[in-house]
Amino acid sequence: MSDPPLLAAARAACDALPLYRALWSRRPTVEADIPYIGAADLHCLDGPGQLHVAGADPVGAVPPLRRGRPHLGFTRIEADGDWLLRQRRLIGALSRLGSTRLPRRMALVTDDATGPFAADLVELLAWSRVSASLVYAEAGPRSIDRGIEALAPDLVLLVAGVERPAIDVPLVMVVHAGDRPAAATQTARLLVCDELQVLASAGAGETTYIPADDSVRLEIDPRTGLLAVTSLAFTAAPVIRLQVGPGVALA
Amino acid sequence: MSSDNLPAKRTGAFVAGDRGHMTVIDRDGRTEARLRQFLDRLDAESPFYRARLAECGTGTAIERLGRLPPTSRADYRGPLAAEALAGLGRECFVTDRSSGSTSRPVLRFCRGADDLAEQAETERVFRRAGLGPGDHLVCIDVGAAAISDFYQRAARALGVERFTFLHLTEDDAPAWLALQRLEPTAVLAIPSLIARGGERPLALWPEGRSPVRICITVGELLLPRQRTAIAHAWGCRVCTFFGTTETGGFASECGTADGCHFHPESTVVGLADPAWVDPLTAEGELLLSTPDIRTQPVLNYRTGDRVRVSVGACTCGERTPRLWPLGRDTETFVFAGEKFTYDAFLEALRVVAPTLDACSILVGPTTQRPVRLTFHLPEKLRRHEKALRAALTNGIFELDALCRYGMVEVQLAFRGRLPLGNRKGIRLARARTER
Ligand SMILES: [Zn+2]
Repeated sequence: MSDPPLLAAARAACDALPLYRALWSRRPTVEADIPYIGAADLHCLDGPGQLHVAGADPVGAVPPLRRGRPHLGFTRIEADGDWLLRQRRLIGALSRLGSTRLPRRMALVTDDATGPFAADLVELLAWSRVSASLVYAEAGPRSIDRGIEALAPDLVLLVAGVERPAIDVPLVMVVHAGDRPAAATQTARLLVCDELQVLASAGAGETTYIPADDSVRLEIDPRTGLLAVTSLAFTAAPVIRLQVGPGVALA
Repeated sequence: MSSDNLPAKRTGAFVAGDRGHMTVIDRDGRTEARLRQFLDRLDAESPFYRARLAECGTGTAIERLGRLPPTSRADYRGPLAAEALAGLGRECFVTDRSSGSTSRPVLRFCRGADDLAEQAETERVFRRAGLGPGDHLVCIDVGAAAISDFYQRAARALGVERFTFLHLTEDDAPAWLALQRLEPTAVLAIPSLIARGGERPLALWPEGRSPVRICITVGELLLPRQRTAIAHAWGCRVCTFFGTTETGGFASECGTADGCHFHPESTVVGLADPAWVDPLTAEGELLLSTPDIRTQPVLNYRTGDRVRVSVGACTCGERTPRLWPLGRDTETFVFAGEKFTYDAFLEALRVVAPTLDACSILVGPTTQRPVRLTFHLPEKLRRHEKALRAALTNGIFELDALCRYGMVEVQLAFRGRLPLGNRKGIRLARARTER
């Protein structure tokens, strides 16, 4: 019988990275052996190299939601396989919010802090032929509205934490897993973390998040009540039961 | 040549090195001072350059640079990328990826200091272009939104109020309509992306009604007819911003539009195989050294770009040398804003067919979307069709991306004899001009 996905991912990470062997003291044999870890548990890491599977060709850095402020304190590098999974999660989550139809044209409202994250989303969206333009929020709400009006998108993604635009257009907002859970449930949400990017989505009016796909496992750490994430599939940069923020309601 | 007794009409000087290449220095010794610090830093931090510098003996920094062999793209993506990666530590960084017009991509790591150094250079360029408060800058691209986000920061530092990144896809009509409604005062774009839109982007505003004051072109050579077409249609100044992925942008045109000004103490420009045009001007392959880059710096980096450099004064009054991009040393064509070399295609195909010595590429028809690239290959390779196709898209990630974006469609055609022969010239010319 094959291992359950979480155990299989943990064992694969343990075999590939000395970091996990050191952190866990032994290779997990049951899920209960896998501890929940926080950013502080990784304080000894000198940088991304120790979270990177040897031999996996790096293709680039994963931008955190806020420029220069990654949750782990350093930038993560991914391989092609990890990039493709990120892309798949974003598209999966957006498709679900749009009732299985992907928008053709999107406007992403961003700002100086979230710009690199939003720019990265543009490239992921382009891969599925979604046109995604960026409107920067610094020029104020009127300018955001004018930008959205000019771009005439099917969907607006609020990457920066700004007021709802005055334009009547379907809206999704990005919620960082590390922030206080969004109170406004009248807006559809994408739940993201700095390590794996899109984790889950919740439609307008929905109170629970649905995982973007089966490449991630979302759990609530029973001891702390925090949200923990695991990359069930990975090429270069596995995270296993990493606490990323306050607990959220999961479907 | 030496830097002695420079008359006032000069902005710098060429210094000939022992290896035959030349380096451009400024008039007041700052290039030498910056280079000296830079070589000391590399000697301390880079095992790759420490070994090379050890062979260069003693002397001034310029003299030592003149004895240093050029740094190749293979050095950049091999030992230098490994050194950069190992040295990143817990500091935040971003990455930039480029095929460097070969079938093996280069990855560049940039920490905060590199980003700010490049921003300082970009601010200088935007200031030279006249950007400032009250402007609305729109960047147009098919992908590469991260670099636009970087431009946004540089523009904002000059007081530019509004910034938009406009994403162009295979169906570009809605994007051009959006550009009209955005009413930009400044546009930054790759010239071939504007050209790709045909008449549409040029007919957005009635004559004399365009809000655009300035169009900054990046990423490739701006053809004279493209410059004229944009300037005329939008009633704006057109200015070229020149650089490479590995070094960032570092040179741009002033209002005179006669060469791109650069600061020889920030980016040290050299020429390999130089040929004199006049006593103040020479041409050759561009070599770059980057004292401002901390994470993945280079010395005498071979860019593959042919340039003309002049230390003669510009009529605009700015006292810096100028550079004119002339094209690439290798055969290149530009497609949907991406540069491709013929060698890159062959290199990628040779992963599957090592003995392949030629293939012909048919472009078009370009009026159809996506534009088709047909690779004509020998019949005996037909059984490897799947692997060849994968080799092209896996090896050249920009091609892969353009296929995914729906801009390009790759077809393989197999036949007994390749349609090369006397039609080769026609095909090359066609690929070059349909940009
Ligand atoms: Zn000038």
